[in-house]
Amino acid sequence: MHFERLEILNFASYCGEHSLDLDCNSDCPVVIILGGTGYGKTTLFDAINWALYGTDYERDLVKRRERQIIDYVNESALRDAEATQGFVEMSCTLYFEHDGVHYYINQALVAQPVRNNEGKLTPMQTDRTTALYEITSSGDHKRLKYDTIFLDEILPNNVKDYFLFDGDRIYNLSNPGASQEVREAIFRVVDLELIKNAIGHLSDVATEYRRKANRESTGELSVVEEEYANARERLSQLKEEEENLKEEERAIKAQIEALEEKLKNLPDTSKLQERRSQFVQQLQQVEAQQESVTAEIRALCATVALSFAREPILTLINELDSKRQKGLIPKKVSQALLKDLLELKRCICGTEFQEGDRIFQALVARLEAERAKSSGQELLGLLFQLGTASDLVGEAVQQLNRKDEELQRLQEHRRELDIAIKQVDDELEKLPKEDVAALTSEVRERRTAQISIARKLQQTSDRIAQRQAKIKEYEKKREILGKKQENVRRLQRRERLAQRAADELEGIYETFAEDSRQAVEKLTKQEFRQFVQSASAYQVALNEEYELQVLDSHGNRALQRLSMGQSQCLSLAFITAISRVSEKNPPLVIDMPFGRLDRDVHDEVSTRLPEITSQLVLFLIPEIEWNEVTAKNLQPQASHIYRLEFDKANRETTITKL
Amino acid sequence: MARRKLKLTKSQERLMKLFSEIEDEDIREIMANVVLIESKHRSSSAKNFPIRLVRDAVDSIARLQEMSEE
Repeated sequence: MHFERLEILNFASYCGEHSLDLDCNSDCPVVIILGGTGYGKTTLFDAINWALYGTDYERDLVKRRERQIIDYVNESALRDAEATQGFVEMSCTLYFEHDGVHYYINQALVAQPVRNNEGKLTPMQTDRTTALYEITSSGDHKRLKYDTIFLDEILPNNVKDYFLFDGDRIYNLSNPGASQEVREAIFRVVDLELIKNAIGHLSDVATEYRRKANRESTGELSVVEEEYANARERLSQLKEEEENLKEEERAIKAQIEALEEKLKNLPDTSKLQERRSQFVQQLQQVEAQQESVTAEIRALCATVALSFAREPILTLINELDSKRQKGLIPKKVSQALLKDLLELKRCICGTEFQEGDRIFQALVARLEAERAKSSGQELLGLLFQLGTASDLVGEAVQQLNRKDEELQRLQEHRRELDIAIKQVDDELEKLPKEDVAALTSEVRERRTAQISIARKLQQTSDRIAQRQAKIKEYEKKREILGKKQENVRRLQRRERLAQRAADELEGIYETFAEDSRQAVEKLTKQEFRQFVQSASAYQVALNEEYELQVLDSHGNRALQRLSMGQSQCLSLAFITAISRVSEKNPPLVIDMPFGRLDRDVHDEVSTRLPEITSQLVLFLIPEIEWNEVTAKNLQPQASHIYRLEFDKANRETTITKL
Repeated sequence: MARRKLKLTKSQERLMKLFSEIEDEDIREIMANVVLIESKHRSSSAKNFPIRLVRDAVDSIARLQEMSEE
């Protein structure tokens, strides 16, 4: 299949007729459509899808985006139709070539403008047509019956998601736990769905024949037929149960692996937390020290405040000292000494005396004489007091200086600790907020559930084996008894044929599913190497549980070690593998492929994409997706580059060819 | 309709091979016919699927067996 042209009429923001040449050759297989967000890129993507799949895509739109196709009728065209009291036609026509024959599909809708209860202008569908034409070699347009079988042969709707897709699909497939989607993709693309349905039809027919045989049989055969029918019914229920349990087991296994992968790669925050608490503890100590030093400084300040009087005090001390040197003992000292001697009743020379004797009287007389000394004598007493005060002030100043230095050191240390805590906080901030304990407990819960499911599976499997043995017994009995009742024997034969065909097909289904998985795995490996040459040390695998895995040279899981861009390339490799397995070789239409793709792989992906298909249509956002790197790789291979311009006032898009 | 005979894909070829490995010809024929019926009506809803055709496919083989036994 090869797209040639897209024509749209009054479709969403495209007012009137617009045409897009999509034809390209093998040297330049790329068509690029550039447009900012909201400019109408996805609308064109929708137009291609609607043209191809009509009502099927309309259902998709409702399911995925909660939009009706009628909502796509252009607003300006609707207003014009209202003004002229006419109708508005909206259509999308896709011209394409397949196996050397040219075709076009047209999806059209006619709507009447109506005002709803709120006075809002809305379109009301009055006609809806789908038409498929073949352009014959003579140039005639021959109308063909449009049916899904035709498209199924070219580009089946069930696999279109792997040819017409957006950047979100690339993003989602690379997420852990996408095994269900991966499995579905393989089943759909290699027609496993078809075989599964065929098995279902044959089983239904076998059941019908069983019921008939049961109804028509009589006597002992009737009992055996009923038991056989019940056993078959139960077997089919058990198989369904087994299938559901396996599905559940796969899902739980995928969840456990995703959780364990997360846990394994979750950075250990405990060391950082420990460092942080050490710093916080140190900070608290420093703060306590700071408080104590500040209190000491405050106390010293009162003493140090006296230092302004220190100079005059020193002068006074000098003055007093000169008097002291003249032998004038301070009055208070001599009085205290005399009082002590009188109390001890011992002279300074060691002679003991009694009250009233000569020495006693002499000392009393001396004491009285001291008491009678002039005020000048008191100044001498001040000499010692001032000396002490001066020393205290001097010492306090020195202490204050020391404490000030200590305080500065503490402040510096505190600043360092603040910075260190901030750095640890920043590091913690960068780390995922996952709670290790909660994740571990979740893994434990899942493991318990897994064990429980495995037990149920074993039980179901045993029951299936028992039932099958029982069915064999019934089969023998009914064959013997059936010989006597011809009509029942005929029904038994048909039932047997249908059931055996269903059973054989089931076996084929299992083998074919496994073969297909291996084929997709092989191609995914090859494609991944092509996409990400820098990741050549890793091996890609698609395991039996349909999980895309990346293994290192030791066989350990390494998906989390790939960059986001590289793991997205794994999705692209898988999509490409699916496309190759289908052998449909249709055009690849991707809406915003680089939108969620890391910049580090823009180069590799934009180089590889044109090589994997004969026609590549890309819808890109200028600057973000259409950048230096992608433009360098894609521009030389582009047959057409279009730019979408959007008139915000009229909400209309125009297409300009570059 | 200008439909071309399509080339079998590798996976379809593999499927054919698996079919050919079924020894019982009658069963093989029933299986092939039912898969063909399903592929022709794959887009039909379960409700609209012509199960009668599957019944006929089984019945015709059963009749042939009965005739040959007679």
